Amino acid sequence: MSLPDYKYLGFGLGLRPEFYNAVIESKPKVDWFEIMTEDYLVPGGRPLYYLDQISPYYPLVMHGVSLSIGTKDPLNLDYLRQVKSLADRINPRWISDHLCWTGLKGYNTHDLLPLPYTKEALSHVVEKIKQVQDFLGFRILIENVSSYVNFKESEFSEWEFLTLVAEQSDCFILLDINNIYVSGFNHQFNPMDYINHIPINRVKQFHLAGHTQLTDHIIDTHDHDIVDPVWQLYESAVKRFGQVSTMIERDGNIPPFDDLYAELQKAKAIAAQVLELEIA
Amino acid sequence: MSSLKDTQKDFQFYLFERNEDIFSRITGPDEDFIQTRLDVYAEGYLIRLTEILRMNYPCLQRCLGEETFVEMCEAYIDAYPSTNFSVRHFGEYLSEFLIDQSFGKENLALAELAKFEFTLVSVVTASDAKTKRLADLAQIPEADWAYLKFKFHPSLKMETFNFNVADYVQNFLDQELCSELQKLKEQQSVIFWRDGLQTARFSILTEAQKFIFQSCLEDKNFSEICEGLSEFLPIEKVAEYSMNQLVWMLNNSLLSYCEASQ
Ligand SMILES: [Fe+2]
Repeated sequence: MSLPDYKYLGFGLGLRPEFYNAVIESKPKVDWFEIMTEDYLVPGGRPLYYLDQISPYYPLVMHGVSLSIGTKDPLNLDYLRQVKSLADRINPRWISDHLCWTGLKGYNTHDLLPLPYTKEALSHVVEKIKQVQDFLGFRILIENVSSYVNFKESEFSEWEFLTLVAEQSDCFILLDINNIYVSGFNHQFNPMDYINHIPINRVKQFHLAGHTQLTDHIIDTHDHDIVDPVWQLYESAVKRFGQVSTMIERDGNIPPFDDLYAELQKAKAIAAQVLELEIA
Repeated sequence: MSSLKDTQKDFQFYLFERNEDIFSRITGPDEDFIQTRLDVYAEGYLIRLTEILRMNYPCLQRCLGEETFVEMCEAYIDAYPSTNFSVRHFGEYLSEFLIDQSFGKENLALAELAKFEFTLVSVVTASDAKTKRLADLAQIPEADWAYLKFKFHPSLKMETFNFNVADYVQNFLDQELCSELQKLKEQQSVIFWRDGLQTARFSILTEAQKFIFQSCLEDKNFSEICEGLSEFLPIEKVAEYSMNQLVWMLNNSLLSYCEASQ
């Protein structure tokens, strides 16, 4: 593959199977698509066929959930090889995964599990990201996850930990604005403390999403519209980080394409207003 | 052992067994709070994997009923935690698991139903290959026909069943009243394959068809197959029958190779 240049891509959406035909037939004015890496790590069939049809027309980025960068298990090289060969096939603009672990002793819980923010976890994660980047031959983006518990042993705040991970491993950050909001609510911190701490030049992508609000905590479900406080946080993030490629994640309760497109236009309008740009 | 490894071990142990060793590592005003928060993960884990089984085994779900199906899912998730990054593989061992379980129905029948549904699901993402069409047959010189050899689309799988699971699934797909799962008088061979990009299909084979499929898999040529078919039908019907079968295979995207090779 050609090496990523991490250039600004504009406003994107998740490429969902529900949208394959609409995307091919009407080529909507979406700047780029994010694909769920694991959906395409298959021998054949519909997903790869559509991906090959769509990739000539849109910049793509690969977003994975199985790197398990924080697990004490060794890196899953078989998985990484498959990721690399998919990257060779579609030339993504970058590859991202999460600051989490997904299982231990070879098990996979298929969830993004939280890490204790300790010095030990920091050096472990940094070492692993370096191994991944050496293997792939380029830098990856690491995303902050939503979490529901804090560990007593943590020595850093999440924003300090994420910053140290990015700086020490020289990776980039995918900043999920909704996840900051969700974790802020769940752990009673001010999301602006988070945003104001993250180094500007490390952030190459934003995620926006909806969630499920319960009485005393929020669950990150990606099945609702984006709520106002997250839009406000997004506005603050654009003020701090400037023009950053932005996409909306929607994994459940999928609305018609036009509704998601409208939500994306809202993101675009907010960014344009902050940056005083004309909306194309 | 490192502290990170201990934390992860205890955390995972909570997801798998609700073991509370992890509680002492989590911040919170009281145990209720800690448990509520940990349960977001633990319940999410069960819900997620149950959903995957629900998607892959709709007919088994209908057969067992919602309550027993959920009970079965929890037992399976406990016995076979996922070890693959891809959720597609998660249900792989359900058939094996059901062989010595009891969920209110004949366990061997349930195991076969699970094998059937998983095979059907697994052809959907099998490797691709261009398939031959009827028109390709017209290009073959008459003299070459005897030496024709065949290869199937890579998604093709042939399985045998002792219960009427194929009819059972067909009824389910046709949204007809489900028949009961019953042991067959004779074993049934069924082929599974992907037609086009995503349509999973299956077909119950007659003895003669089974012979044809096995012969193709054994790399036999058309003349050898026709010769063998005379065991199953009157010799004067062999030519017409074998042609019909070949046309059926071509029309159903089953063949990826059909050329003369001596
Ligand atoms: Fe995200």
